[in-house]
Amino acid sequence: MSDTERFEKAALPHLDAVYRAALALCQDVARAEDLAQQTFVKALSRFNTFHDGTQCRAWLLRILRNTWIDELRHRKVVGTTVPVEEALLAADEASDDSPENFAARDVLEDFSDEQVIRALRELPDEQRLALYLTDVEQMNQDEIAEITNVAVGTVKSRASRARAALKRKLTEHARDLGFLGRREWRT
Amino acid sequence: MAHLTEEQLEEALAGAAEGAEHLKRCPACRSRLAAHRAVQLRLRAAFAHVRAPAGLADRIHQQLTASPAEMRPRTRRAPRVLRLWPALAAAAALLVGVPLLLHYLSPSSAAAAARLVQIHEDNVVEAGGFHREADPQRVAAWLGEQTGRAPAAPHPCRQCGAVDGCSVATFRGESVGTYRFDTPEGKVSIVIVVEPPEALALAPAGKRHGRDVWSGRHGGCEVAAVRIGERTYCAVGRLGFGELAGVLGWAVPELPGVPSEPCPFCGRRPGR
Repeated sequence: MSDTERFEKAALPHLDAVYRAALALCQDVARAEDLAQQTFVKALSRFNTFHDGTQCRAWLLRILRNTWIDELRHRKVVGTTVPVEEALLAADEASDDSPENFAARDVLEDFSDEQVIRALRELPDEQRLALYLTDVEQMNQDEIAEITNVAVGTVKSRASRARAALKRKLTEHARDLGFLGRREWRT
Repeated sequence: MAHLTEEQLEEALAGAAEGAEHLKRCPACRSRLAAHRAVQLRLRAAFAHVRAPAGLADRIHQQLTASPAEMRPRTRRAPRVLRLWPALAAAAALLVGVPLLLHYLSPSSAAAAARLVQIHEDNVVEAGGFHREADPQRVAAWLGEQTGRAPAAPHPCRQCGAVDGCSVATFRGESVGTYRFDTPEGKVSIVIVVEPPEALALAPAGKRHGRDVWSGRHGGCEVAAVRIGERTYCAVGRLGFGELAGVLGWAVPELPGVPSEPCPFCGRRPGR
């Protein structure tokens, strides 16, 4: 069996997980497909670093994350938003328990899956990834810390803030879409 | 009593025992935890049915087994939606490179109606190429140049911002103009398509403004439509049919409500 065949046997079963993560990170389907494809191409070139016993899904997701960061850097986007947005998200936590936000829980089911995924994409980049890996892939925080190259405490903080921000965004969208009653006429 | 920190809340969400005693005594933190859990479950459910598109595995396989010189990823990226009004010209690519959006296309009228609603919801959340700064008249002119069929743009009222943004969306493979109105009752999108109302799962609903009007309800949204020439002007929103028909009557230039009547939202006459 060739290296490529061995790689495909080990890696391709995780294609759905890689694609889902790419879809969470990218702004559209085409870009997500490109990112997934690039991830597998890069992973093959690094297959010599993959050893039996390595968690293949986590290994692929780490390559995906690095590929994505490279792309952001290439587009000169990375680093411009996270610190500021993290600060804003921290401030948002203060209103986390407002009655309106609790009302939002009742309307979560009114959103389509696509709308939820779009709202997720509005979050800051690294927080989006931390939340996705925590909530969707259900990876443990040590694994996520290794994939995202940050401390475990940072993973927890990012995931928690990102989830609070997602809730807030869905609340806003619910209001705009009429799930939470009509907006007041602009004055 | 100090509340759980973000990290402690995250640990509790993951099932850790620490914090359990505090949670028993603190309804605020219990509520926070419940809210986080609800969002977590909804997010998980949103991705539950996401699978890699058919063909992606084959493309990756072809890429992996290609010669090194061919290892550069073969993209099949469709053009991105418009980012800024000055970049509107980029939408030209939509006319020639829409394979990404083919999944929106469907021969059924129900699917067409669902797409109308999706366009409206994109406008509401300002996704999918929506731009607040876009000028409706320029969008219409551009569409006319690109498609050879210039739709009349809904009449904007710049005094009150009754048209507060536009987008160019793809509908059944065609670029179409969409215009968002911010009304006292909620946001309304007018989407102008070439398909007749029957192809949009709409039913006759009498006459308004001296024209036959159609109505339908899809995905929680109401649709009111009027056919003028070769185009159907669809008003979509979570408003009643009468309100949507009223927006059509005021906003669509070919209908008698414009320009003789003042803007129903600010009371001023257009152009002043």
